[in-house]
Amino acid sequence: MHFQTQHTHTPWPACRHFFLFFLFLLLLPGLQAKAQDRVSLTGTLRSAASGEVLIGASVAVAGTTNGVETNTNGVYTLTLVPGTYQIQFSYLGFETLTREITLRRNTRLNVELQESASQLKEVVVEAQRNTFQERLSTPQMSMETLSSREAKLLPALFGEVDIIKTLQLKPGIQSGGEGSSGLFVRGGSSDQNLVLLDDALVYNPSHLFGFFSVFNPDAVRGVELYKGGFPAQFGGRLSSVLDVKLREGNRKETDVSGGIGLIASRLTVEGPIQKDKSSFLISGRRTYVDVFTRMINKGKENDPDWSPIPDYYFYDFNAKATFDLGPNDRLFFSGYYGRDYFKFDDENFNFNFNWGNRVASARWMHQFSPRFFVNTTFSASNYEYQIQNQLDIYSFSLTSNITDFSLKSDFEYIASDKHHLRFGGAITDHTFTVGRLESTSQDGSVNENAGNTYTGQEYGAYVSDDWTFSPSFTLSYGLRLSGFVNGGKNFLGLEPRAAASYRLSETLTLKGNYTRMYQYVHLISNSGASLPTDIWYPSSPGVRPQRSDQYTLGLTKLYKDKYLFSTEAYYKKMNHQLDLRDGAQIFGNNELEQEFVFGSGESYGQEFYVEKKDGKTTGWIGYTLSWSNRTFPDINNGKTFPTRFDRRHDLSIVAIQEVSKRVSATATFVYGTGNAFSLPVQRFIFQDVPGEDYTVIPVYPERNSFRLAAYHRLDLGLVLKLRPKRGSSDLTFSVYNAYNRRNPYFVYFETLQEEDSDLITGFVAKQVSLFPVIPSVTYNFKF
Amino acid sequence: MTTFPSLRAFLFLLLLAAGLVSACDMEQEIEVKLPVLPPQLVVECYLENGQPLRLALSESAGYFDAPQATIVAGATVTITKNNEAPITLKDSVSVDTKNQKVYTHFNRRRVRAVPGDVFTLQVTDKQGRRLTGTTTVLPTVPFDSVGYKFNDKPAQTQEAYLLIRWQDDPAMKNFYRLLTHKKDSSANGIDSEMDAEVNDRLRNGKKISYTTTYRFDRNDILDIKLFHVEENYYNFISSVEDARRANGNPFAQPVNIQSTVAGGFGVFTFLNYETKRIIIK
Repeated sequence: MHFQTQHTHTPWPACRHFFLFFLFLLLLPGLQAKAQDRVSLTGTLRSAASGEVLIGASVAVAGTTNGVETNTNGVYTLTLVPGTYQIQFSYLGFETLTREITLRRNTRLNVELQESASQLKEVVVEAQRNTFQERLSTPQMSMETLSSREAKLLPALFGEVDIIKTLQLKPGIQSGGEGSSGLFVRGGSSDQNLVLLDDALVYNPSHLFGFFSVFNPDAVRGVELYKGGFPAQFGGRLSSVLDVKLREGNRKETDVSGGIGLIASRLTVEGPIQKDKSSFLISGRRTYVDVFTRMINKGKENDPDWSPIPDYYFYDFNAKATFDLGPNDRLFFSGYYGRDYFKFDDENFNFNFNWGNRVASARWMHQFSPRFFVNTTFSASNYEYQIQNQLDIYSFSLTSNITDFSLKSDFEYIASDKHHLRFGGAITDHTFTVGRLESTSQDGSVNENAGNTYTGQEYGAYVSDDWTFSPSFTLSYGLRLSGFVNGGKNFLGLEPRAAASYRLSETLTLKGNYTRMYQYVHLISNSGASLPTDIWYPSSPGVRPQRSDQYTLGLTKLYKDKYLFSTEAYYKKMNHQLDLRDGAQIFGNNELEQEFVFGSGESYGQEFYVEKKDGKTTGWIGYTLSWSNRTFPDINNGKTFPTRFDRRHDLSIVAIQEVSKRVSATATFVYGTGNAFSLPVQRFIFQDVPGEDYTVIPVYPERNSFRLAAYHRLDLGLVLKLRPKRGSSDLTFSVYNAYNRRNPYFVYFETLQEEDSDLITGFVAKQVSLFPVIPSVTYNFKF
Repeated sequence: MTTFPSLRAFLFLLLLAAGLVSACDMEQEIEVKLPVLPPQLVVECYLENGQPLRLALSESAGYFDAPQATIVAGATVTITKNNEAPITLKDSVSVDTKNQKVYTHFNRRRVRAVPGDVFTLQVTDKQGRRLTGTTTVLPTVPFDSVGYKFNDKPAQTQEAYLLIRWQDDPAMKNFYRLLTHKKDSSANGIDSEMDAEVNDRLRNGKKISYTTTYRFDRNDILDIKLFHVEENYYNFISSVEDARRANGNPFAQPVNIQSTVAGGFGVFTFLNYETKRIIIK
């Protein structure tokens, strides 16, 4: 349901439901009273080597299915009747620890796990079983997790590990094209992803026009990507939530690590500020292709036919500091700064283009009691691009930016062993500077300005409960109330969220969920791809918020404790989708809304996934069958058309083979139906007025009615651990596109003409590919 | 100048990448099967004061069909000025060799029009296909000034830029097309040196300046034409340009041709322009 406050008859019923829901929660103390004969065991799990908290680690009562995962603070809470228990703490890559504990009252138990030097089979099996058991029983579905550690094992383009590109190997997640780090989740658009870096929003998560993501794998601990079944604390985007967490840094000793690659190098310094109480991490990386291109340009300085190669580079920095203020309080500061530069200079023409994000957050975690936590986060996020162009006497500059300040509080309350409550609220102040254009000439003959500044306030409040109704039935339900104010217009949206899981047997679970999402800011793109100059635009009296409803039904099956199978069928309906009319002018236009057209979208499909995490051979296979369509009355004559990323079949196979203790070999294979593409079907000759040449004009009858050839590619990788005198190091070899497949990037029609007379002799279709086989090697070190 | 700068930068990088891997043969000819769609009428008719009525009528063709344009014979073509009697254009192919234009229909009557006059085109071919269009005569817009300026290079290699100014009428939305032609080395040849579509969205009622880059040499004889055009002609020219660019651009969306006529592709418009000759000295 969506309504606007000026319609006095509509808000009340919606609000009434909201308040009834809160009222229901107030009745929960009854449930809590019942829980008072139970006691809680709580604590923090950390790595013994670095002191960093372990997120998503498993804490279980041995021999039972009673277990929990550590939260984003590494904290676990088990609620049990008093007694003696064997508690098992496990996390992939760490030795499982079993402790006997006698519980009489609420007890705190902090645990440190040793990193497993040898991949002892039983260690991995235990951790995997607990992880798989947790995934079997939780009602949360449509979620993918990936750690930097896993991503670093896999082969990568130019050897540059990219956690987002690795996520594209999971079902339901598609890239924007060859080599792209764009995310198109379950038929959604690229602007429909809520990208969070330590709880702060990142507007443009890519470098180099989308070929690399902004997430430095050395600084990132891991990511969680929600494709559906969104928890109520998330809102503001329709199609996915990408929750990226930075590492906290080593609390025990100072480490320096880094890597030297084909096109970029990385360096990270981390260590304790005060041993075991606080830590810092600073990480940076920079590409250096520009160093070589400048050398080439210098060498060709005297060649009059030489067109200089433009400078291109990007760099980014991540920093994080973590402080334990006491047993119940922790403070976190995180920051990101990144810039891409594209420069071209010659005698008459000077082109400077730079873009990037600045993101910062401060979070205070407070524990009222072992069952009651709050995280309060203040964050700021800015994305901007600047183009400065000097052409003879002209100078031209174009800037656009969006700046957010956000404050949110997230409460977590374990009311009993049956009810796990979350509630909170957030408010964000947006400032949009859209297309600030200045065009002048030295002689003063040209002096033009354009651009607008808008502000908007976005807010949300939510409550949810994970209700373990019985050992076999769990329900997670919640409600989010969101809103947006701009231009005197107040939009409100009610977003119900519900997920349930029912254990059909010890190893088989049936799951389902429904979520509604609202999106109040929109990315204006006239390219069909994500480019740095795409503009963020707020909802306004003329632009309604986007809305989606998604339904998912799935089965999860654990086979021999080794293989986890899951399949999910989904249907997503998207309303108030925004696109640009044909020939829209988005630069230097103060009336941008006149260029917008509105329509709807629909996507549906089924995903299959099987994963194996133990043994010498590990990996996963994902397959997706899907459809993704859009309908706009003003596009394609109102006829429904497939999106460019509509992919009927999508297959990913990832295999990691532990050859020896020092050598791992990896392979990934992807196959996908070719992208939908528009091609002209007819043409005509346009003679034009006297003095102008005739041209061939293509006629496009329908949008995206053709298919490029299928995309398939095999990448191979090898990680060789070296034996340095100090610290550790490895060499990572990658071969991208191992069998040198010419995958289509796009197709165009070429006009063949006689050289002398320019007489047209015919037309041919040409397919352009981007990357042939690309071998690379990266040296990584840590000391 | 303001369109898609990042796209251009990206395409430049792509071209660079493509150049670096050209040895790997990253471009190949492929076969594409296109559906066969019925051809549509294509018309081009520009009315000009003092000129006879001339029109080119052809058909669109499948992209991989023979390259020659298909001339539509036997169509009935009439042009009506205001409420006067329709004038029929005869089916007669003629070639303007100087401008390299082909016309298929002709009437020797010369156009006489003043701003506000409305012309209507009707075409009906033997298959019964019908194409119509309307154009309203706009006033010409005079040049305020036309000038040039050389850069600071040595005299032998100096180049000049053009600066063209005119006054925009604040009472209405205005659209312009600015063309510059230069005689080429052949006897009758003309080179197009500049084609700019300009609107007054950011400059309504102000003096509009248009400046080229440094590109003109000494002794160049330039004919500058400022067309005051209707919005639909401006949209047509823009869409034709966008459609041409979309072919070969991996990110462009397909563009529908916004014809000024109904029932086919093309343009029917009155050309009203000021012209000025300038010699770069």
